[in-house]
Amino acid sequence: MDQAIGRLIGIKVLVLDKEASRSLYRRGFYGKPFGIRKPKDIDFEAPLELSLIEALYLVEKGLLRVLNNEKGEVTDAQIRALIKKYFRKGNLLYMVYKDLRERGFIARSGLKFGADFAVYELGPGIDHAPFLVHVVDSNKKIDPVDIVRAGRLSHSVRKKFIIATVDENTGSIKYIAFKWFKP
Amino acid sequence: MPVKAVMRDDAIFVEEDYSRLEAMGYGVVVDDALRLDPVEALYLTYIGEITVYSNSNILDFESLVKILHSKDPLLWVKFTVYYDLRSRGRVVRPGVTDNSLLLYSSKKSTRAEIAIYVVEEAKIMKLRELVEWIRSARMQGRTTVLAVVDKHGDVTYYETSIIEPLKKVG
Repeated sequence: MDQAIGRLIGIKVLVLDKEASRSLYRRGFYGKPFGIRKPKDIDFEAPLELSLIEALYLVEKGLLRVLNNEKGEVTDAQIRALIKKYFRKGNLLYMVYKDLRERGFIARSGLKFGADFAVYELGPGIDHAPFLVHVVDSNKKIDPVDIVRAGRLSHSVRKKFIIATVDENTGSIKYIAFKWFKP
Repeated sequence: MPVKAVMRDDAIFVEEDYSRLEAMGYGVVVDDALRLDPVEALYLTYIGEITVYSNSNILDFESLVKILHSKDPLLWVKFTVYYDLRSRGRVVRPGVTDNSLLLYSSKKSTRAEIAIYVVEEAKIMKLRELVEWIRSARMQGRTTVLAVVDKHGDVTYYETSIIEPLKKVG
């Protein structure tokens, strides 16, 4: 597959060529076809909007080149720096995103479910419901009720929700599954 | 009639007529006396099954809470979870670690199949420690449950496990 060309617009990367846009989306539900509401629709005629996290992954995979306004190349290191600058726990998010993608899952934004990622086995609109993944620094102290809060939102979607704990120094990621328990 | 218990060197013992309590899953027999964990002693005092004496004075529930809490800051939270489970008719025992309890899945069980990790709102925790606890309890063949006690004393339970996300093939 040819490398798609993306343009860095603020903290988004836009793939304006419709052919390249469809091709990336079909490959693994990367990004969001602009203005298209049904995620199942893979025959759209629209540009593709990628998050910086998705863009970095695709650049690392060699599937995407990112250019800035002056047509200069935006390197993976530069995208990484932007992620760190703009998103709290940005690096951790990227590590988990990459790990899930490398395991063959479709990871997408989980914001509308109150999670960091919504994770699909086949794809949005195809799977019955995504797994919801919350990303937490394994060395950071958390309030136990944050787990309950995560659970409250996630339970409306699936019986289980997942916390990915990440050690930034070692790169180790552990997935803890939580399931409602009635004693 | 409550059974008499005595506090000796910070531990609580029932020295006579303890077979019924023992059969109900309370305490451990040590030198012909039933040694109760602080949480068990508190519960049995609360429900009127025992009266705890220190020398010849009776320690009522309030005194007992004061004394035991000063030695274990997690006492009340553990008691909250212990009480919740006992009041649901479950057999529960003190756990292997300070902040855990053991739960029997039925009255006939000879071994506690479920380990419960007790945490409280606003008492910060590290997920790394939870991960390690889950690992070791799972290695002993137990189901692991997290009990979160919120500021109002409500308990939320989650069954927890460490998973290796793998995609189903096909």
